[in-house]
Amino acid sequence: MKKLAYFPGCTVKTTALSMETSAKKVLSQMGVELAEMPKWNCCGVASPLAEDNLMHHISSVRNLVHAGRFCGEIGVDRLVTLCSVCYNTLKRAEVELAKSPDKLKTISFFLGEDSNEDVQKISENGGALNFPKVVHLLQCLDKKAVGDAVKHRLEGLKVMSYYGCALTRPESVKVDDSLESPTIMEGLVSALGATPVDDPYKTECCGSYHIVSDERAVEGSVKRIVGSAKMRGVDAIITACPLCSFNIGQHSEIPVLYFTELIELAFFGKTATGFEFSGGKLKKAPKSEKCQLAPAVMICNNQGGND
Amino acid sequence: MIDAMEKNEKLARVFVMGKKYEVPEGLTIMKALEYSGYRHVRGVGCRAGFCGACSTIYRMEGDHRLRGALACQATVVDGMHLVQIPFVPANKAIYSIEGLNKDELGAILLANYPEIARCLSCNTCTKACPQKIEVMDYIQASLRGDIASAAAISFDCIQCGLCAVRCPAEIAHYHVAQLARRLYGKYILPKSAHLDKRAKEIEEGKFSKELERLASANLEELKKLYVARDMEKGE
Repeated sequence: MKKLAYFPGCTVKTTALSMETSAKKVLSQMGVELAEMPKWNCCGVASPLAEDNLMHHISSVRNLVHAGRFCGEIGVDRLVTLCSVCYNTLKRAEVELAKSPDKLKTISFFLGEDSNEDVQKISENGGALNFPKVVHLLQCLDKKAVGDAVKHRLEGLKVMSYYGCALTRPESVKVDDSLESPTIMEGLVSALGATPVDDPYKTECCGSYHIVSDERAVEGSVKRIVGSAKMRGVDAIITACPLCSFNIGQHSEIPVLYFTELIELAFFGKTATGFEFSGGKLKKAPKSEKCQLAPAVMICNNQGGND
Repeated sequence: MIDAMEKNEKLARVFVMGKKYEVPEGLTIMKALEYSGYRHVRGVGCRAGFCGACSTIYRMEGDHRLRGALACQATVVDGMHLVQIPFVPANKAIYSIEGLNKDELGAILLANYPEIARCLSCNTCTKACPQKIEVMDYIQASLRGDIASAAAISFDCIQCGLCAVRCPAEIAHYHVAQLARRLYGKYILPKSAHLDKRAKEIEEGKFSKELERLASANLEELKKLYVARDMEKGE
């Protein structure tokens, strides 16, 4: 009898048993035996699909607990981030757990054993309700106050605000009312006296962590973004994301600045990284230090992450 | 056990590697092991919570949590299931502490112990630490190249190794911490100028004569000198 080496799987052995019995029956009719592997386990589908796979929130939740205590101590109710990826990660945890007490409870099974007393108590006293509101610095800046502090108005400087994905997606964590065309950074650019340039690629993905496994994918995405900016005569691209800054910076003749550096430029006329604004022009910093990926990303690249 | 019963002490059930013993409550795990007839060859050192040789893991009846302790510090509790782990195999990087560039220290921890990049922030190491050190925090600091923080947070580490036993990312935390403290001591901590001065004085023989005099003095002379010594004035 001809043999087929057979991997059954959990469902076929339980609720879909009739599939296996019928398969065996028809195959044997044709002179073929389904030879089951003597040793097998779950094919692996369950954990990535499980909605209660909450491990990725553990780090965020622990931070939100510490933040809750700190915010209480200094008498505020918002936690501010600069990095858009941190904002996105923490905000998603805040939003998701506030609407799902069940998920918070699951997380508390693990964190209830933490070494820190505040963390141990996360499921008590309303848990997630004690989390501060996570915001990005862009949401806290009063445009009028910023404008009043400007000493070197960036007259004539054409600036593209690049949002990327972390500030805009998913919709539940977006920093601006508009998902498709946010303007929170453009408002800041105007307050500094510069000219905001609206660019259809401002919320396109820069390629993100593909930089680790497929540099060309990033190059393709970035060239589209930078090409569009060039066509529109952009003098500087601003971002709130270290990874966007790295990816775009690799393939752009247009200088890439953090939004905070653009403010620095308007307040002080120059940045600590060597940019200067004089005579209506942005003078590029000499390429002194090469932009670097975070150490953890580099290691993932070299070693293939977890083995 | 007879002693304990005569003194009317309360007995605790302790399970050592699965075998049940009854020992007086209040003994340290180490004394309880000796009370039960075990003789320590390894797994014992200073008996004072400083050397890190007596790492022990245990579970309490009815509790799924695996806990860690130093056998010379923690006392036995009724229903404790335990075993000692006196040594933890962990790779130690070979490095030279000399001639490093002070501005490039940040990358050294990661270069010698690249597995720290696998940290998932699960905090299991911190939970395991009998010294209550925020182990995960110093691993995260190490990953960022913040040697000063890693050295400061890990200062009380006695290298018992329980963090390394429990870590799902298989990090050898205490070796990373030791490298951080060595780098901190050699390159970051300000050098004490008066220490250099005093070391030079000693080398030049400032105290040699006095030492020789003491070394050759007989007991009576020593007693006299001791009584007549200069005392530092109190506050």
